[in-house]
Amino acid sequence: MTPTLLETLTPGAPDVSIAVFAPLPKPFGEKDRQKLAVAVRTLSEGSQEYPRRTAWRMTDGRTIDASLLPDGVAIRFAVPKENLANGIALVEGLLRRPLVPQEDLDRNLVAIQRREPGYWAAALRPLSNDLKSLKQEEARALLRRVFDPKRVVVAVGGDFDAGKPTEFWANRTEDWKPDPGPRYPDITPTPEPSENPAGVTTVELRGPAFAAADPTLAPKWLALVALGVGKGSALFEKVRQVEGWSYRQEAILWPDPAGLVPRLVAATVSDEDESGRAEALRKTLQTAVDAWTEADRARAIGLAAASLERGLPLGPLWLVDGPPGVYDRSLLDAYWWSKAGVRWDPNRLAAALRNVTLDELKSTAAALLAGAKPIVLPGR
Amino acid sequence: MLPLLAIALAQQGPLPPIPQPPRLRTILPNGATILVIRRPGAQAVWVRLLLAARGGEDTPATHGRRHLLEHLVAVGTDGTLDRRLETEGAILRAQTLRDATEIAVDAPANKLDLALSAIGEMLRLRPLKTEDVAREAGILRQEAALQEIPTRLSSAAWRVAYGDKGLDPFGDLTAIRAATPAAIAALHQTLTAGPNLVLVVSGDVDLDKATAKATAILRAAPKIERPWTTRGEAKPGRDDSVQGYSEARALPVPAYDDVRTVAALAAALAYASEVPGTFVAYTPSGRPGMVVVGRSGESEGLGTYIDRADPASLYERAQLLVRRWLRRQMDDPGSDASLRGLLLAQSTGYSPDAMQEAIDKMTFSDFKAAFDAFRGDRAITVTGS
Repeated sequence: MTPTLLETLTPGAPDVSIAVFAPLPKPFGEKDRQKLAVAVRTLSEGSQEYPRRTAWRMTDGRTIDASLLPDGVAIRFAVPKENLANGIALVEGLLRRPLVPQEDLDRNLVAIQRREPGYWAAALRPLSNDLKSLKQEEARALLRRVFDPKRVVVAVGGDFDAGKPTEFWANRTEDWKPDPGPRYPDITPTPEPSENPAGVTTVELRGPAFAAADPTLAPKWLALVALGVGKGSALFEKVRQVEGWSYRQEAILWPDPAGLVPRLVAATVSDEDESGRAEALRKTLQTAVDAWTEADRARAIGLAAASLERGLPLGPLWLVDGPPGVYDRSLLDAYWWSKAGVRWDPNRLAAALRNVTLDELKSTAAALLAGAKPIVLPGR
Repeated sequence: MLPLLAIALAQQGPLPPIPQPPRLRTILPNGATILVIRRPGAQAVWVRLLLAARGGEDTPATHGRRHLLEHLVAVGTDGTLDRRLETEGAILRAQTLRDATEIAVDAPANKLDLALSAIGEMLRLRPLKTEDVAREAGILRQEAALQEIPTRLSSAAWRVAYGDKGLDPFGDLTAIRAATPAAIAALHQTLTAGPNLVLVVSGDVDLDKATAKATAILRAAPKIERPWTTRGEAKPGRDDSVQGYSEARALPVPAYDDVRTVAALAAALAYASEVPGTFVAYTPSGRPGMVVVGRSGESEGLGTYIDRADPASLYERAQLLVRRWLRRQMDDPGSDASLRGLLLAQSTGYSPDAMQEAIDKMTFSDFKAAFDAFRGDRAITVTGS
């Protein structure tokens, strides 16, 4: 069967960007998550027919970027537009016949014992890994299961003849059969972290997940911007500028197998008793929400529209390593199709944000705060 | 003959407008520099104010004072600047580098006046109280906890090479806490003297009109000339005390437009293309600088690769990578404005074109020399655990 491929025409673009989102199968346990974290890091080594140095020629020197998100695997790379067919061949090879060198598995096994690269990334995703070994065959089998043609979505953006990527893709994938998967898949639960390996304490209010296709996405999106995106947000103004206990604090829509999770997170140094900080944060933010005026709504709309319409990487949506920017359009297309069943349409969302009233904004923000779980993870 | 020419011109109708050049650089009588870049059809306008560090460079006693000033000035004169900008779809970011402090405003295409007005606020420091400085020093303590490993590796390499003349732009928390409002105000005065100011405007703008608007912002700055302090000769060495599993190899380099510098950058980019998870750090400077290649999460392997790599097999790729490195910065309007501003802040004659020329001149022999230097006794090794 031929998996979904989305085309986005961008006349004049010198490069073609190719992105994949493969949602995790269900169920998917913690042991498999750790194995997949190691296996995904080897995807930059290319496919069995196009190893890294060959792929490097196809991409004109650009690297293949592959990441394990909480809800799936994301792959991104670009090729010069004249290499469109090569790019399609490369992505098909990566998904069906990844190279997965054993020496890279061994090296990445060591690397993931440490922490996510980047303090903020590690603070947001305080995972611990204790996987001891992973053989090539097992890693390849796991990738085959994740890269299921029924679920995987590929997006191609650039200056090409409409229909060409679809034609190349169909020719290469019509014989692709879904992997039956294991009879008894891993269902080991992921343990709740009790501390933060990034060394900083995170103080968080975390809401329940909601679907990307949720009809109330627009007020929720705008409420998160008003609460914690930009330097005019409640989080920045209260937590950083007034209370002064955090340098970095953000409202985030976090990718999750159950949908999107609203998170209000502030990082702070780990030398004080922080246990009451999350409830205090809830109170501070609720007071700010109560005092919001049309000026707060206008700021949130101005910033959110700038992000959506001009591609500024500002959030709240978080994908691979932060809010997606103008160069992540193909990944957003693939991701949103997988999560919501429709293409990513920033202009439509921006228009919907403009229709959110102040009352709706305040009540949505208040509900997000009231329903959020307080979490404090001390740094170690 | 003259009447005939006049008739001929009249028959042609109005003369077509003379196309404007892509860029216009203006140096004001007070030494401030304005660069306006035309980007027809651009949906945004990118405005960059650079405050050259000349005369205000960090010393051990003042280490981090420019960074502290950046925090204090970037909020504007009444603390509502970010709200005002964000409401109009504009954002302001600030960063402190060794050679300059950069204030960047990205705004919708029709909001140039708003962006310039925000830049104008950077030149007027609000009256500071001791508690303002203390609160911001507390924020910097929080920021220190989130410093990423590439930054730590790079800072360590600079410290080895240049000692007190290569202090990191972040600063020392003790020195930062010791800053007084008067000292911050004096530093602001130094950094906003005419010769230290560069204003870059990039977008779908008229060169002359945008230059006139930028001139109105900068022309009141006093003309006070101060020299750069010299960075001195770099020393080789190593530092194994960085916090967090990591490793880096670094090479001190001359100015950004020297072929040895671009060869070192090309070598670093070639290494990074072979060793997964590797970063390359280089900030173009007319002064002695540093090319750093490193990675976090692992503390061995990169050095071994560098020591064994074959320059001949990587040369072609390195040429392509270093060209792309520069092109990527120049293709993005915001990055291009920042790079041009940073270079102009050091000298009105500096431009990325000189770096491009150095790249064009680079030979295999230059590349091999950089390769040898990365594994020779001039290189710096930094590791962390």
